[in-house]
Amino acid sequence: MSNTINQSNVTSSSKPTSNYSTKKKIFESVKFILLLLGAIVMLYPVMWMLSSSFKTVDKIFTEVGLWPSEITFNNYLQGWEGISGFTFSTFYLNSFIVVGLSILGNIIACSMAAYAFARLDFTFKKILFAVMLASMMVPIHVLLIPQYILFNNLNWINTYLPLVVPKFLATDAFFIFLMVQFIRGIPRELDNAARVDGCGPVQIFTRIIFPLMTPALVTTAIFTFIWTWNDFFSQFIYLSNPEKWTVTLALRGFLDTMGESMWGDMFAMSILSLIPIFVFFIAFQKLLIEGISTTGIK
Amino acid sequence: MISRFWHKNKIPLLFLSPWLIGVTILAFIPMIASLYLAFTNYNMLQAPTWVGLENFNTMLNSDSRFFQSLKVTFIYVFLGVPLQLIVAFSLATVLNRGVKGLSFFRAIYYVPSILGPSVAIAVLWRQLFGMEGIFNDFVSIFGLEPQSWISDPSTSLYTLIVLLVWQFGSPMVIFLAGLKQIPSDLYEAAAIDGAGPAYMLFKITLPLITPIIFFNLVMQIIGAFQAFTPAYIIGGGTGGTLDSTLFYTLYLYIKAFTQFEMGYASAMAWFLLVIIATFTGLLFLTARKWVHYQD
Amino acid sequence: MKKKLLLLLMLLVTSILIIACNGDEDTVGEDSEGTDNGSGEESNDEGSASEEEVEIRFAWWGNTERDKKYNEILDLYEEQNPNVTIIREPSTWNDYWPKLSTQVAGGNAPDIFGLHLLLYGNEYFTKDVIEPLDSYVDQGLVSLEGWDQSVLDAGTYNGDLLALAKGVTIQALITNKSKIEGLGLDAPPAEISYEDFKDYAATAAEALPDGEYVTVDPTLIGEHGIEMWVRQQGGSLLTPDGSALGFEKEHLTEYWQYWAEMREMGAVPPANISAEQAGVPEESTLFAQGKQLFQDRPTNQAKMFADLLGDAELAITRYPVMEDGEFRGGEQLQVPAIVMSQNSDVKEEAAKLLSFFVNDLEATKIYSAENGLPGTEPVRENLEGSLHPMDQKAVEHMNLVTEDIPKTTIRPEGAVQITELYQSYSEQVAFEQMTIDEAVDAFFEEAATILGQ
Repeated sequence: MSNTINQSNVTSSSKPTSNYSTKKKIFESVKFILLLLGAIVMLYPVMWMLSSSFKTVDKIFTEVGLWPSEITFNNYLQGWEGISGFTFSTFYLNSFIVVGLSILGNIIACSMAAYAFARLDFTFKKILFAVMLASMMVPIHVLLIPQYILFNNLNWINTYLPLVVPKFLATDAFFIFLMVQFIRGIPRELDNAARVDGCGPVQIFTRIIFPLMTPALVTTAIFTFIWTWNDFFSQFIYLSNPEKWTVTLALRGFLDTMGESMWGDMFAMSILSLIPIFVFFIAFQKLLIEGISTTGIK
Repeated sequence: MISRFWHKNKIPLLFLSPWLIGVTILAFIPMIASLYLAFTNYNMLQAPTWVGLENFNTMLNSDSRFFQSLKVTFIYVFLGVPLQLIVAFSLATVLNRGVKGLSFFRAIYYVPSILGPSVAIAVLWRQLFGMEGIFNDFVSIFGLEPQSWISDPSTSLYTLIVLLVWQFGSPMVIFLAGLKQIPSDLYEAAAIDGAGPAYMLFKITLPLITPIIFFNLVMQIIGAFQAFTPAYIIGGGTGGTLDSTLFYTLYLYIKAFTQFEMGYASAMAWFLLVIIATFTGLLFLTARKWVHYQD
Repeated sequence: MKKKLLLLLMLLVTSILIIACNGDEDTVGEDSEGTDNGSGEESNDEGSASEEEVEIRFAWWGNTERDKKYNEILDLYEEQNPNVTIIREPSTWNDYWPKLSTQVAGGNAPDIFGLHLLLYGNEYFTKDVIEPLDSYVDQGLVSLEGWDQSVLDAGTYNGDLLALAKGVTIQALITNKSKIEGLGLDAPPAEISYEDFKDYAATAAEALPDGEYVTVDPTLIGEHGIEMWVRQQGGSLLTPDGSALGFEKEHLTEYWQYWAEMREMGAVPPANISAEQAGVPEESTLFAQGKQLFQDRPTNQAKMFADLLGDAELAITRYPVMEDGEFRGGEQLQVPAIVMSQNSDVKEEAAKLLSFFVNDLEATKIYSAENGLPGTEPVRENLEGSLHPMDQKAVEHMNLVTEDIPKTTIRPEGAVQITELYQSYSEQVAFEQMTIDEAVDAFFEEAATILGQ
């Protein structure tokens, strides 16, 4: 890809090539250094958390420097012990269940709805699209009680169902809209070609659109992972017993505004809780980046 | 008649059915319930009582905190969102290609967004922008007096805007995904025709990515109007000093769960819906002029 | 290739999740069975209540250390009552309240839950949410033996006993005695008047280096300060029916003036530092860092600061007294209490557990003044000697204070709005956005509108 740019610059530039390429090299280096500096700003908080996680509690708030004067692993050992007799193994497993099901739900349900909005024609389409957008505009706090009553009647309180089932019903309209925008970026000729080959709407969706919207699906997976992992409001409302708690709830459990908090444990476990998200992001960003240009639009 | 309706909508309904069920049960019905509650006095512990327009009346005529929360939210939305999107778009184009260690940088620049609105970030932000924070070391280079940026009412909101801009990862990833969707042969063809980078940016990248810019703009605005967690977590559940970080949704939350006025909170929610819908509607109207779809 | 990889990954995730999901659904089954058992229990209750399998939901707020104590106590109860299973629902303070109101609104309140009477008592007392305990006392399921009348009164509404204290605590000035002595000063006596305290603060502020302060600015950390100030003068925050403010403009003017002077002389931090302090973790407060002589907190938190400050010797000083006031002190008993839901299906079993929690000597020994001192004499006696030294001092402090304070009142409905309004005008004054007179007038006017509704 960088070749392309190179070529284009060379052809458009009237200056001698050698002069140009030194300039370009300087430009690239400056860019690189700036990016590196930016990276430090981005990473500072993690460094700070990392350093705090190795400090004893009394040092966390008194020592300003990033390098702990005395290193302790106790926060990790003690933090992993968890809360109310449940260790972080339980909380991780719970988080993975919630996150995994949420990703699956969002990918299936949102892509179906998005396909209908982007490509199919049906009655009340515009109104329904507006309803979809409007459903994102009301703060969850005022929808909470009716939803809670519903889930309570279904006997779903203190299970993962109130957190997961809505994803299979495409309630995250954010992703529907995202996918709609992506599908509308896919040339219609492809649909038409498939239709000529005898594909119906269902086949067009499964064989053309779904594979071609990989970047949007990967984005959905990444965001669902992070947002579900970090979401604490619905989790603390619906999950009551520590055995059902997720990592995020357990992290909140370490802190108490009315008394002494377990800061060291909290930082240590916060660092650990970043690892799955980070690994997931690294693994999936490859798919995101390679996206359409290699999945064979040509 | 019915059979024609059925014939036309059979396939779309198949695709829409999960969403239709979800939106009806989990959004539409609760929204109607909250619309009813907006006209009642409802403390959550007892049955609601009908009060007509009283909530709206109080809200618009005698609640100074309500207007404060509107002001805070508008600044946050109209300053924070454009800044965040500009940063996200610039970095997405830079990180799209042509730099050494691309995937490394992409991952690093996404880290702040992974951290999310966690308790750790709340502590960190207080450390950064507090009296003893390193931000004061930084501004002292320019000869500024140290101060508590996070609790001074004239600056505290801006520390939250910095947080929003700093967590630009989500729109950046969406931009990246959008950039990837642009077929590379367009660039190749332009290169053969001798086009420069500026031409490619303005004539290929920008027009083709307008649906994604539009998406990010709409979603970030909808999201920022409802911003809650940053202020909730960093302000410890209050609106900060002199209500300087009293976001609209935070005030709504305080009304509902601290003051036990869910009826009033519902009224606020519907007022917010109207505001957001207006801005979103305007964006959709202008979209015809500048958003280009492939279909 | 990539497509296949994605598919494979998704397949993997799916299969793992189907397994996990099945496990999950099993628990759902158990849960619904549990509830059925519970409601089944009620109909069988009449005969032999004790042998039926019972599930009791028990909710509390607190940190992990406190969770351990609760679990230990509840395990003990389960051991002694094998037919009882206690479902535990811990939360942090911030999450606890929205969750509780949602549960109540959704008809799913826990059978037993914690309630902070001063802050939230009235919101719940007035709304038929809480089961009165009197009939269970009559049946002998709940014991009130040796309870202080004042503590029982705090949990009584309209003649019904609704709440029993987990502990009682009182706002005070936790004092860093070592630090004061290090300055070459004497620690103040256990009781000190407002005027003497101001003089004392002036001397201390002189002796302290830059960036260190005498005490907290109470106008910026809530309403406890003003409430005590007006109670000392025979008033109250709100009239008992909640229809008007329970004090006059002069009270507020003088109060704000007193603390404005303290700010000017550098005895309390400037407004922006106080505001910052209000939001930081206890560990990084000026007091915990050894940069402040007094900390304005409930006495049950003294032991926490003793831990944080390590070697320093701490004392408890009474909140300043008003010798010429109607009462010398204005302190309220702060009562974190335990209550039973009116919707509970297992009321009699819940009553027994509730009584066990506050009366059983073994259980209360485990809890050990976690939420303040017990409100019952036998329990206090039993704890003697095993209390944390700071809690021991809190006992002395409580004995001193309860002599001359007005009856503890529960704030009427609408109080939260008024306290938040007060907080906002206090900030206006401290940040010098308004003069004291302007702020007083504006506060009274706006309060009247809110209360008039």
